Amino acid sequence: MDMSIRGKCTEMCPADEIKLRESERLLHILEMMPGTETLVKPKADRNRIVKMYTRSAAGTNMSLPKNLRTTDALIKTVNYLLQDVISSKVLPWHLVYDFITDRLLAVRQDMLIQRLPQSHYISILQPIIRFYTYAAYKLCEHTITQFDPVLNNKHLQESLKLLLKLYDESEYISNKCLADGDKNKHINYNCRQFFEALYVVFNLGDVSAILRGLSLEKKWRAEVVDRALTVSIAVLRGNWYRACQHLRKLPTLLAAIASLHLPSIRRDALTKMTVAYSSKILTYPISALQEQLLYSNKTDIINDCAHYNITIENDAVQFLKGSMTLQDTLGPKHEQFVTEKLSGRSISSLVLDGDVW
Amino acid sequence: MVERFVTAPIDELAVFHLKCLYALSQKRYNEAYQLQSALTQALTKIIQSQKEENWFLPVMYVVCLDLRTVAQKAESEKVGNTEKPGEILEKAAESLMGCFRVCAADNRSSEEDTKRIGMLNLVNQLFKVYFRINKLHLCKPLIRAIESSPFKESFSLSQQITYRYYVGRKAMFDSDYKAADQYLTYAFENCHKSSKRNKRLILIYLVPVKMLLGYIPKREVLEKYDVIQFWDLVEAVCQGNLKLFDELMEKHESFFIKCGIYLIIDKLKIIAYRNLFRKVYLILDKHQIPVEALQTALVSLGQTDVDLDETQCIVANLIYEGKIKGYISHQHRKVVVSKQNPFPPLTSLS
Repeated sequence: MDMSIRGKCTEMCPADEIKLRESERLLHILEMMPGTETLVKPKADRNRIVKMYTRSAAGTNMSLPKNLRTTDALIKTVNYLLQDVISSKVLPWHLVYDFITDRLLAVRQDMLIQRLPQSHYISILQPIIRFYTYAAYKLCEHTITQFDPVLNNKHLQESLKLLLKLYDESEYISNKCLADGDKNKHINYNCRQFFEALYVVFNLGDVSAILRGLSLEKKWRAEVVDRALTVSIAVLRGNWYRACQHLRKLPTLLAAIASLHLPSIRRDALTKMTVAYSSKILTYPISALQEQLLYSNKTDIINDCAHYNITIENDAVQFLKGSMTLQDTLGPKHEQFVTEKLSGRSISSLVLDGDVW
Repeated sequence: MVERFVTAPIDELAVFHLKCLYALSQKRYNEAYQLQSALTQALTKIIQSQKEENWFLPVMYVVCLDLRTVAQKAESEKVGNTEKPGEILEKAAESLMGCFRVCAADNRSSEEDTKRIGMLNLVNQLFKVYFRINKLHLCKPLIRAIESSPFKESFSLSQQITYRYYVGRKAMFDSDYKAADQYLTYAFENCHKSSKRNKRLILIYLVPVKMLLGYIPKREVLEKYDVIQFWDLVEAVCQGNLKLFDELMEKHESFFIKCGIYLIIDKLKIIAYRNLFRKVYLILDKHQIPVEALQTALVSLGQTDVDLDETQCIVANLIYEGKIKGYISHQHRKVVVSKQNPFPPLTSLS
């Protein structure tokens, strides 16, 4: 018997919450009726107000059906957030991000409380995960006060792990259904390969992520998964050359998230090269290093070397054992090759429709 | 009926046990699991109420062992299409944890009566479940509990062996090969010689770990314990035969993945590289080896997509790890190796 709760709210925001937030002046600028922003009590724009995330607390009933959105309403919400709000020019993008992340958290909460059927859950979760992925790259150069990468990574990791679990469960169930001759329940998940690859690349060099990728059934081991595995295994082996070669060829979002690991790949490479190429006379040309380690330009590589106390003379690196200081890894930066991949693609279509792979 | 022979509260255990046996005989595994689970819960209450005594522990061992095996059976025979994979085993682990908590919390009894002596048995049961449902991170608090236990040395030898086998595997998984070697070696050396199956299981992990640390197993040992499949691998690594190595990786891929040793075997490739490069060095008999010569060797052994830069990257890793003594000259595309002992034996490396 199905005991789960089913939502009844068909709008992006329950009526009670609209009333409350209007009277308590808790509307976000992106939710106000245009023209009323300067009033003491701005009015809510019914087409733009979205349910906020609230923690469950004692005394509040989180599972009132009238406050929980139906699957259709949730899909509508996600589409609205990731199609319209995402390209809003009213605010700086990191504030837009704050708004969307909060509202997506509420979406995830609504799904969780209702224990939506796997197929619905999967289709709503996928664009959410792509959004976190995109944001991780897009905002990686921001200061911690504007963007907290740890928190975003936590959202990404949690949702991604949940998605993979849902894939496993629905496959397990559909196999059982097929065995029972009940073919109607077969669930269609068309971008699983992409998300399997994302899990590998996001957790680059992580043993359990690699093992999961390796033990996937053949039908999910698409080229994109294999490439992700090649990069990750190369990182694990310390083969930075191979890792970078393949990293560059990943599809847009995967390349973006993987590029966040470049600072540590480069640090590792420079550490080893300082030992292996150690010489007082011989040098290593900057241009070759730039090419190998996917640096966008000469300035970046010079800055990195300065950070690690590696000498550069006449456009050549002088590696000398013991000279490198093992500073903290530098923060990630936007990389030229990712920017090129991103250009010519609207954000909302990338996040909603996914990568081409 | 039962009451006439055994007194409360033990009568309950007997009833559940008989019911469980009946369900098993009828092949109703899920029901059998539910009954065994109820039995475990009743037992937890009993041991909790027994202060200053631990004579009941052997009963607990048997009940917990049964619980796990019945859960495994129920898991594999699951028919419904609403359950999730691993669900029953997860629930069984919770019941086992219940017993574990009672034993671990018994710190007021005297040493000979303490239930804490029963902890290791339960930990081993839990390891078996966690490894099966792939939740290795849950092992960590258990290991901590055992390592900090004052009875660490008093647990029975068989339990210690099982414990070290799993902790060794866990260490291997965390890339801590030194620790893995230590634990697995203890398990292998202390495992009774007639327990061939267990010895074989230990070797599946011990062989790759040892090889990574530079020790090569003897063919007789591999033959004796029926892990002769590793012999080809040993030869491939020793000869630096990367082509054979890749073939073996592909051939045994699913076996390696299933045992969780795929990535450690993959690491052996680094040693194969070292051995191949050493051969090139011996053939050329020079201290300045052209990178091209190394690359040619790699390409001829099936590594067709490796270019000069990647060859240098591989050599750089070997130099960094101390497996080759020397340096690379990028300008001249040469690897200059030390005049003395350019390829130190792997076992001499820390």
